[in-house]
Amino acid sequence: MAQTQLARETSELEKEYDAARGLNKIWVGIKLAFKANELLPTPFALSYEGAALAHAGDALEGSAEVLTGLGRNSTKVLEGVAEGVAFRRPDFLGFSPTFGNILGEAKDAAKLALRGQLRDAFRAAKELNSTLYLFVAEETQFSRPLLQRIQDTGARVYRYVGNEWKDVTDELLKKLRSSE
Amino acid sequence: MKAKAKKHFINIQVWTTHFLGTAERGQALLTLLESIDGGRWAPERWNTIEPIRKPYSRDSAGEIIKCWIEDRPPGSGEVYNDLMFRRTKPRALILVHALRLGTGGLNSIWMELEAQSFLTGDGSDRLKAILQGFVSWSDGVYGSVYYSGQAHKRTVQMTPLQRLDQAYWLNFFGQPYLDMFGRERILRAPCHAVVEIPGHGLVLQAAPRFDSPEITESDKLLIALEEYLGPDAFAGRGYPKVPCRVPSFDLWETIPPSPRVYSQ
Repeated sequence: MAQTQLARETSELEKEYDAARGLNKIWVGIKLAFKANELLPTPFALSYEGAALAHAGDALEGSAEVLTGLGRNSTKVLEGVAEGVAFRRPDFLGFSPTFGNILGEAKDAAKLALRGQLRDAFRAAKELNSTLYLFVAEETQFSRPLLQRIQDTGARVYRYVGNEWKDVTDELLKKLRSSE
Repeated sequence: MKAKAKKHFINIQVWTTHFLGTAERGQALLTLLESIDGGRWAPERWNTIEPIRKPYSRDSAGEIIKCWIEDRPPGSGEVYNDLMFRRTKPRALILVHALRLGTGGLNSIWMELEAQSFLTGDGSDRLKAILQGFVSWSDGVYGSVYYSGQAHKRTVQMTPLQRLDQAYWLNFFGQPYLDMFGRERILRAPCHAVVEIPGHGLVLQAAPRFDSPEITESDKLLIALEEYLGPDAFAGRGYPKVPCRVPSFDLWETIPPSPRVYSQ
């Protein structure tokens, strides 16, 4: 029964995420059209882009919620310690039935790098003796310093591919060894 | 071989039980990076996080050191800082990590360089000198030089606190490993040469060059080296389910004076 419920929730979130990704693709097309015609995007279009991206990010996070079995986190970490902000609030924090003790971040970005938020996430995971999990979109790319930190800390990366989550950590880390 | 090596890169990594986030070590690092290998890898850009865009010059030393030694919260002695440097023509990326937090851990320096710059006859000696420079600067306990064209590639996470990931063309073993493997055993290892870094440890050189055929065409030499030193120390047999044999590391420098209690 619980499994049926979980499957239904997963399916609904997947549809929502896919819809959001579809909106993003439309927006990318609009942007290319603007670029081709050397037109500037209108305020309406900019607001549409923000909404589409936010929607996609929310949907990715929602799908990761189902995977982790954790609700959205409300606990602050690194108060008075975080880089450039008063505190951090990771997307996921606590004991996940799937993964154990985790600190998780869902990131719907084209490229991830070792910027302030992620570096703080690594620090918080170390402080809390948790493993950092990154839940990312299918096309998300990683910088080499970030891959190196993932390598050294045991952080795991899950990618949303073809309507399911896939652990791509080892596959990603092979890039650190490859000259391609 | 030269045409193939143009695309390849070299990773040099050194781990230390010492806390690197001090002003003295920071100043020494900048001097080292500006002078190592005849100064050809002197940084052009730096930052504490990505993107690495701040112009690097001697005038930036003050700001760099300030970032490098900063503890957060102020006065806590807790440090989790990075310095990143990069340059182009020749291309280099450098990541240095200072950690004094929680139960402690290893500090490290990692450098990625284009292999093309080391194809000359003196290339191998220059790489050995860079490794030696990093070991001396950090008082390292373990180090390695990886060539992306080497045949033996094993991808495993974590640090030498948990495992040695694999044998490399150059392997530096500091005192904890001299104690664990035995100094005499390392000196008799089946490899091209073993060189001492006085006061620090031994560098085991598997083959004459990083791009020697024994390194690029087969994994036999490096696996034989792992077997000789003790396969239970390397992450080849069932790790992480089967833990590796690791030396005893003294991490006191990387533990804050008054550790905070963390909870979720």
